[in-house]
Amino acid sequence: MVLSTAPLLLRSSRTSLLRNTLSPATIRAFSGSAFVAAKPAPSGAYPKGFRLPRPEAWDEGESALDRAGRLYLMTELFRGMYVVLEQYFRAPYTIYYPFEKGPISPRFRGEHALRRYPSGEERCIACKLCEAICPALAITIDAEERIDGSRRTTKYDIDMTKCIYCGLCQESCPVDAIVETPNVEYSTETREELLYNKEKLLANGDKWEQEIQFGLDADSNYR
Amino acid sequence: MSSSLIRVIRNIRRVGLKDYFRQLNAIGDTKYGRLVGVDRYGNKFFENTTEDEIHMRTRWVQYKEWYYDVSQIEPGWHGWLGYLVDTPPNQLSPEQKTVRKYPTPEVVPNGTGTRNAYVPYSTVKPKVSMWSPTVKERTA
Repeated sequence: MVLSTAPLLLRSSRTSLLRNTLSPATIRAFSGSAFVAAKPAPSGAYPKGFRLPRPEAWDEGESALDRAGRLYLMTELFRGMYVVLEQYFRAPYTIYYPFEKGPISPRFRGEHALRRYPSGEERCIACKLCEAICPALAITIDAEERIDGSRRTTKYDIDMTKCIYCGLCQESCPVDAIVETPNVEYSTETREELLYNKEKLLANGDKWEQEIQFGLDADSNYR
Repeated sequence: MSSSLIRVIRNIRRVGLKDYFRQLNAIGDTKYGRLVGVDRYGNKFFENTTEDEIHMRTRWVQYKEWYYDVSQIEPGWHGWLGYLVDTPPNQLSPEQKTVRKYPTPEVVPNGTGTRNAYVPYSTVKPKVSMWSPTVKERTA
């Protein structure tokens, strides 16, 4: 007891001595922040509710009869059920999905598509950058010289079960051929239906071109 | 928006009994809004921004088919329904529309589980062919 209080007493007496003999301006000029910034702890009453109330002893508070009534009449249960009942008469916070949709970002990365030029010529030139950058190794490309001498793909397969939708393929594409459309509604019953080939991807591009355009238009200010 | 009895009765008077029945079987709520347009598949799109509909419930679709699916919605309207654009596709200016020389494909719903399902196939000839052995005539 004595050991623990002695340094406290010493320190408080020293500070009070300093405060009494020197003016606050002198202290501020010659010392660090400790003396100046320290304010005396608030003395007197603590704010209301600062201390937890003492727990009730066994012979205080509500009577045994009250407690039994609360237990056997299940008043707390009914209060909880009333809270649930209230929600029936409130507006729902949810949207009803197949009829209403959540927001789609212009940069959304969904199902893949291969785009065409407005003339109908396919964009992909088989540079294989997407195949090289794909971290999931989901893209397989084969190329061959076409009859008119241009370089095009003969095989463009994406394994959608491997794809992690990182969007690196569309970032790497120099001709904006492979893109990710805002479509997510392509769930399938079998795994095989997710192994997309070139025809499927081109058909996707023809189908979703308008929404790809929406995304590009909205994002054009930032590119 | 609250699901009050007054609101339901008011919206029944606006949409009529037939649409009220349709909505109860589909969206489960009696909603009234302005008919914004109909896509090529035949789905109707509605919007109500004037009344106190909550956020993200202001645009909705009334499907043509009884067995509805989101993939029946035409691309473009799908984006409008998902708040990707504010201009419905039937009011787009010419520079917002896509330019293409080839015809716009028909709306084909997701055909999984039906005969219309996509079947993957290889678009190239196989590079490895099976070895068919030829046996020479024995002479000795």
